[in-house]
Amino acid sequence: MIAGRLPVRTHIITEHDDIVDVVKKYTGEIACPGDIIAVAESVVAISQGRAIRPETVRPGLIARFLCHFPGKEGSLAAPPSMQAAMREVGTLRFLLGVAAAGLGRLVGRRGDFYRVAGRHLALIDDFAGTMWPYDRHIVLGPKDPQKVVERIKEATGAEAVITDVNDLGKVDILAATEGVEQEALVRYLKDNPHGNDDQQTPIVVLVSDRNF
Amino acid sequence: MSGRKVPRITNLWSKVEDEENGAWLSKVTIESTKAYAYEATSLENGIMIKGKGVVINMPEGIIGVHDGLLREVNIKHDDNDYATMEIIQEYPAEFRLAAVEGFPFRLEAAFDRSYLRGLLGGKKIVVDPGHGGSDKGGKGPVSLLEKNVVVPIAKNLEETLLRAGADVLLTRRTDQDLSREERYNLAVQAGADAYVGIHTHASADSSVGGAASLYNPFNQQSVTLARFIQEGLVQKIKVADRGITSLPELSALGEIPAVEVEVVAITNLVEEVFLRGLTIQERAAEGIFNGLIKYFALNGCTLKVS
Repeated sequence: MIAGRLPVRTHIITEHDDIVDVVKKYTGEIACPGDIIAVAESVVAISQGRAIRPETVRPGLIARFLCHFPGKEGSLAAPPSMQAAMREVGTLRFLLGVAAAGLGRLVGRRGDFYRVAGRHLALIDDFAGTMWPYDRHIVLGPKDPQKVVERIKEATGAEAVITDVNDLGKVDILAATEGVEQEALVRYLKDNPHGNDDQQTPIVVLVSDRNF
Repeated sequence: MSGRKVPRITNLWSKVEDEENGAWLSKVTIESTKAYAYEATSLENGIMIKGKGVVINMPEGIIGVHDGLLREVNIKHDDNDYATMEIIQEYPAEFRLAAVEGFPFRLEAAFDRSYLRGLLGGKKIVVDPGHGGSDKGGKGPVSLLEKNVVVPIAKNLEETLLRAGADVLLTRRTDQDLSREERYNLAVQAGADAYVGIHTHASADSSVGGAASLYNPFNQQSVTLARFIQEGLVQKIKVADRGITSLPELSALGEIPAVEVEVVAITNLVEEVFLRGLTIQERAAEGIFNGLIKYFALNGCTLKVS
């Protein structure tokens, strides 16, 4: 059972960091076997070089047209992010997702775009979606999250998860090691202890009652 | 806590808070795995907290606060292996330090922001969200309109200024037509101590981005006000600094210190997306607020137009 949580402040993580080394550096003397180390998905992606400068993306006509539809506060609200999403899954699959979303709207159903085009597209952070200095980048979702959590467990002895948490209380677990009780975990992450921007706490240690 | 024998500082953050008793505080919270012995001493421009037998388990160095009252916190190990936290103030403030037991253990340094009320209390400040109604202002590469996005920034600024005791006049709250003359008349009739117009920049070149502050060339203090607002804004929203420049139209305001702030460039692809988010709308207001504080701290009450 989780008995408490500890947000851990880190340096600004870049593509020059190995996320497992970072986790070990900041939790090595804190997390014990039985604890869970939660790592924000965006920093895992950044460490994997998956933050893209918009200048390097040349949006086509389709991207320019489609970026009007995600809604004012939605991700993919700019042509380069839309183009990056298309590149991620291929134009055909992306357009099938768009068609599914259109049909879904007709019958009042939401979420069809991601069901068809790929749920990992929901992990793309548009500009301003990540902490400075990556707020001017498009940050794609992390690659091989399951491998990453397994490596973290091997390096630290603690369980590990990669999470996507927002300020609206939505918690997605992208990958978790075997010993993680995901339901209990979600309760502890709902208010986004990773914080945003200034808080810079991409790692949270959830401490087991056995280790108190 | 078998693996956590030595206390370790894991996080440090700050927040402006209102307490139930009406106190307005800047609070710095230092979190650690467990309690440790500490002492606090006053510095010329802040306080220093020294922790004994505690390890800093986070990056050492300066963390900017910039909330109008507090400038920064410098956390490091000193030569005697104490963990030291220097909290640097911009202005004088009483503080209290409290230990909050629990996990994580928290040390909370709360600074009274009343001094800011002394600087801004009673000051008449006109906040003018630009454009409105049929005048859409600039337009983003996707769809955002300047006339819409400047309103929440202005309202955030109004809220913060009111909390500091200023007398704020917002020229518009809704999407309505309002001429430049009408806006300026409001400021002149109110006998404003300062006028702040909220705008975004528009350029045919979508790579142009960043913040700028335009001042009233008729009034020398406007240059100082623009400089301080620009400094506060860039510090808070971390965008390119396009500097300050004069805006001849503002001279219609006569002796009123007046600045038109271009928060970012709405025509910039990235900054249009920034403007959609709540964060920049809040941060921009905080940055402008910080500039106003600095201005009134320097000039006091001597600027009032008679």
